Amino acid sequence: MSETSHDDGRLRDLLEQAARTTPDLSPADRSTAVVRRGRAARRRDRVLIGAAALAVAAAVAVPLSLHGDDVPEVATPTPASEPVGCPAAPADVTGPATSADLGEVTSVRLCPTVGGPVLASAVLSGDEAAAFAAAVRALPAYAPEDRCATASVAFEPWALAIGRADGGDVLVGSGTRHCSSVSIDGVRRDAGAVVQAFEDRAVLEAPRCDQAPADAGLGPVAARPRAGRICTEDADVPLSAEQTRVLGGDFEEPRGERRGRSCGPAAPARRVVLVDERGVVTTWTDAGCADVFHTDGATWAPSDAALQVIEDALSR
Amino acid sequence: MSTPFEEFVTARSGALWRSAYLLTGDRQRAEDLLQTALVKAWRRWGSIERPEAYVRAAIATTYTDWWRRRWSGEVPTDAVPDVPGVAEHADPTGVEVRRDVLAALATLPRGQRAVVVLRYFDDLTEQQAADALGVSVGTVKSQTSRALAALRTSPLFATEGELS
Repeated sequence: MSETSHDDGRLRDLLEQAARTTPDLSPADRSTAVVRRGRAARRRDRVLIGAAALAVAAAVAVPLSLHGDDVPEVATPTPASEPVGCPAAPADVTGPATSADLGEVTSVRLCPTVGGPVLASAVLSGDEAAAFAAAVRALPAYAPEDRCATASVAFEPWALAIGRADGGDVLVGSGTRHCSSVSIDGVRRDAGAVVQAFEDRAVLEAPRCDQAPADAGLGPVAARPRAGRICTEDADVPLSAEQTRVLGGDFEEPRGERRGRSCGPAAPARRVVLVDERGVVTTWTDAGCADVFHTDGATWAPSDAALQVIEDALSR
Repeated sequence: MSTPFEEFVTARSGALWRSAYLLTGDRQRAEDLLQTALVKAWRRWGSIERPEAYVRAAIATTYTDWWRRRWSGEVPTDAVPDVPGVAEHADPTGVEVRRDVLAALATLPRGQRAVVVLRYFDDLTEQQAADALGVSVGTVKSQTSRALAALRTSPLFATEGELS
């Protein structure tokens, strides 16, 4: 037998052994959960389509009223009240685990944290907020994993402001996503799973160019950005989902060095603002003459496809 | 009476969950990943010709969508496997193998990990893996080659001298 066949056989055997375990959920429970999530997603889509139509009408009939963040919020059919806001200052989530009683949740908002990145506006309300609360309550009680005793856990702060039907609000957050918990309704839940329940439902949009950080010292973006904008001194162009996907393709694998184009001092400085699935905003800035973009500690030489997207966006 | 979708979940979701588990190394995230893929399938159930292939592809692409990875190619140090379920305590050797295999997989970039699971656990051909991930066959080949080269450095895979 060839070495390759040996390799293949050994790898298959090891994977089989590693996967020889059973899920905690029965197929029936899983099926029920999937159908519930699917229906919630379908409702959300209908609401968003309706909201988009209403927004067009409202743009004609009334002046825009902007408040707080300048990003459209997720519309809901029955907004009982304004969605909850974030604290005035970034939340410090480096202390003891937060504890909260959710009550009847009407809205949930992603909030800035001390030492954390700049975030896009992301809010859940109505059915989606209720679904978030249900998902969090369905999480099993947190049990620290063995590895947590010795693991070096990354600092990944997050905070969620949660609005309740009684008009009150609470803040839930943690300095990490792994090996930590938050107390919800008196039960400790896995911190990462709680914020993931929010992210799975959040609709993200890149901030307008004049609201995006000019030079983000924010760390790299995720491999797959969810939204983006192209900015110059004169342009503020939102990217379509497809355009965002093309740019995200550049982050799939590290790219080699690329010879930059030559250009004169009149070349417009460009910025690409990208938002990842966690709502983290990263601004890539082009020095104006090299087709190479920079953010804090990282360099991005866009592929030809990505450059085409940027040029297409700016030529609209 | 069960719907076709429920019958599919009953028949196949256990196997699909195991694929998700190898991708995530975490029981809870595997469940969430699988459910997310199943939701996508549920929403267009009537138009899907091959549900299992569709769900496998959804798992793979959702996984590569979800998992953050540093631009510079860093591998997160905290992405190590979770603890075993209750049933596994009866088989300490199996627990050790699982831990070591998942730890080795955790060192791979997402794309390579997905290719390894699709090719060597789900038993897909290179073409099927490429279709599932939405990449070329050439990419699957190169990802596989790089993944195997990386795995060869793991003591686990070298134990019997077969990958070394």
